[in-house]
Amino acid sequence: MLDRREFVSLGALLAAVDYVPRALTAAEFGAAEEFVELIVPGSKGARVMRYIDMGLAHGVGEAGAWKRGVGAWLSGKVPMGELAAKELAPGTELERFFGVAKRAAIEAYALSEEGQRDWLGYRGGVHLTAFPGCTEEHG
Amino acid sequence: MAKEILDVVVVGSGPGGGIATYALCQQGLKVGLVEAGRRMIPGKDYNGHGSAHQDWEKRLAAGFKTPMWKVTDYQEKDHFVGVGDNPRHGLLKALGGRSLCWAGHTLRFGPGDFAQWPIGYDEVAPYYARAERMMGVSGFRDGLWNMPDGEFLPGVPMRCSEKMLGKGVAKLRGKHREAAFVPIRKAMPSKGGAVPRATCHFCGHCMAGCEVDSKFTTANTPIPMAMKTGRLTLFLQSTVVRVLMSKDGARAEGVEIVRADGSREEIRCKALVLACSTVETARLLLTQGIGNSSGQVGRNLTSHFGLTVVGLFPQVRGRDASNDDGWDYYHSMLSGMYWREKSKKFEGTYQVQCGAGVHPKKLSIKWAPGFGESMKAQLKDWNTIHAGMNMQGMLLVSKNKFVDLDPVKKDALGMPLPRVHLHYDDSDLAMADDVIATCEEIIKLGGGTVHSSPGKATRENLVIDSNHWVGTARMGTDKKTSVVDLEGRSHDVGNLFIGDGSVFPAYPEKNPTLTNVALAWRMAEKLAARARRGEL
Repeated sequence: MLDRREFVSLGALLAAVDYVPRALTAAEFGAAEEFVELIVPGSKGARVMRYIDMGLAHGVGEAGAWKRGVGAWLSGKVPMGELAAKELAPGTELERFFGVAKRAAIEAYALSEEGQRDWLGYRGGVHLTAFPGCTEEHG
Repeated sequence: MAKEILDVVVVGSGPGGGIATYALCQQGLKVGLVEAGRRMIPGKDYNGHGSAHQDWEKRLAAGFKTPMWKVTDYQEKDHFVGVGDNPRHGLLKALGGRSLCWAGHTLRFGPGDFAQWPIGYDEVAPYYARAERMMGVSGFRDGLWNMPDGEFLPGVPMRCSEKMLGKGVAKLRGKHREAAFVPIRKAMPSKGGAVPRATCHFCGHCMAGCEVDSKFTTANTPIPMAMKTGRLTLFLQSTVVRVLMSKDGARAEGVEIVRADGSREEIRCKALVLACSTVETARLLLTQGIGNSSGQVGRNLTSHFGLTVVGLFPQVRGRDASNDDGWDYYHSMLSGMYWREKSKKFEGTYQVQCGAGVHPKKLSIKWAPGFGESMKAQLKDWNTIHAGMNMQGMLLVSKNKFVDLDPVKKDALGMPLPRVHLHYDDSDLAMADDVIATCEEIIKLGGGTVHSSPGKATRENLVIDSNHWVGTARMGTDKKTSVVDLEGRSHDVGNLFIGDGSVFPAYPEKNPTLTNVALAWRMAEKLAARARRGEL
């Protein structure tokens, strides 16, 4: 039985942890978050890895590919420009992971409120009485 | 006490069955509507308004793999066997059937299309008008001879990149090509008061299921209207496993259903309407060998097929892209292709549904090279200035496309699974190549550049429309070459009627639902007239 002080401390601890990774380990999650932030800046604030990890835990994407990819990233970091240059013809584990992480991160970021608002400037999802269509003249 | 014999049992509550049910009740008949699924609750069972990130965990826990609560989540899986070039077959067991997940595109077939039918445009036109009034169709009057205008509520305009495509099509016409570029028409009321449903609020989730019931479905309009007559009995979560036939096989006497709890019941009727979908109706008939003296049940299968070409229009860069939601993705279409002057390379016609805009919940362009802020900026720019062109071609009717029964595989109730055979013909490939070339030309004529294109059609890159199948019980005057007569009545079984797209004797490039609804309405009135004459 927890006393009040222990109960409050546990609550504070849980609030600080925020999210416990399910598919990846905490270390893998942290590294993946760093990697993804380099590909899609703003991902961390939009909690993109939380979204991806939840999906991986339920078979959306291949958790093994993320574990291998993060492992490769931790064992020898490569400049992003080099990975991006190989994106269409990846040869190494890390080059393949770049493509996997990028696709997942773009989707998760576009679906986040931060991505929609700050990146895309989206102001939709509201009740309109009429849809104006294109009101401008172009070329 | 003897069990009641209903006037009519309708099997299937989608666009055809739902309308037939309403029309029959309205004509004073007692109707039983049998639907394998349950009643879905818009906004609860599906709700595109929700936040993807907030709902993600709940959806994953519920076994879904996509972020939005879509009505298509509930589509059947493992319900057919595909043979050939990746056939797909959508089946939604729910009150309203696939009217819950249709895009709402509502186009009349034209006199040129009906030239291949045993009934003419003038015969169907009054039913089109009635259907449009009930469905609440919004559109512009475009004056196209082979896609006639209907009874429209105010239309909804195009987005900017689509207008650029329109400029390209205008230049194509200047090169003496028969073509038109028009706003799409949808069964989505743009103005209040016309139909007893909510006015569209342009949130853009039509195909995911309209959570405010603005989009026409048979569950939100004709079936409730039928209920109000007091002559409708609903049999939900009830699957028909057998048509009860008279000993001589000349009459349908009812159906045997299996309920969700496994209990069985026989429902007796004076007339039977099958409207289970093109594939499922054929399956039911083939399983018992009903109405198939012609050998045509399951034959003449066709659908629409397509591919996508995407263009970029730098002229629209800098436009206000803050809310492109609208009427889902497609707001416009290329029409009129090969209506008069037929192609020498392929048979038939096609249309191209066009869309544009930034839709965060389903980015149209999902990839740009590189990483970091420059990649993000590129991706945003491309989505802002793009236009997508999605081919909808009429699939050639041939011996290479048909439905039969799998000799081994059965469903949970022991009924044979249907097999859908799809092998594209050379004509189909030639049509798709023509679409690719035409779309690329339109984009360039409109001042844009081609962002992505298949380049060349192959049997692997063509995509069949899983919801547009028609033709497995076609209408005709000759008992040897058709399954139903001009009223939709079986040539072999005098009180068996078919009320779905399977009766289409030929298929143009246009979306099928409005014609399906109009034909089912007409069939129901013919059936009711027979009932009044004591012919059932």
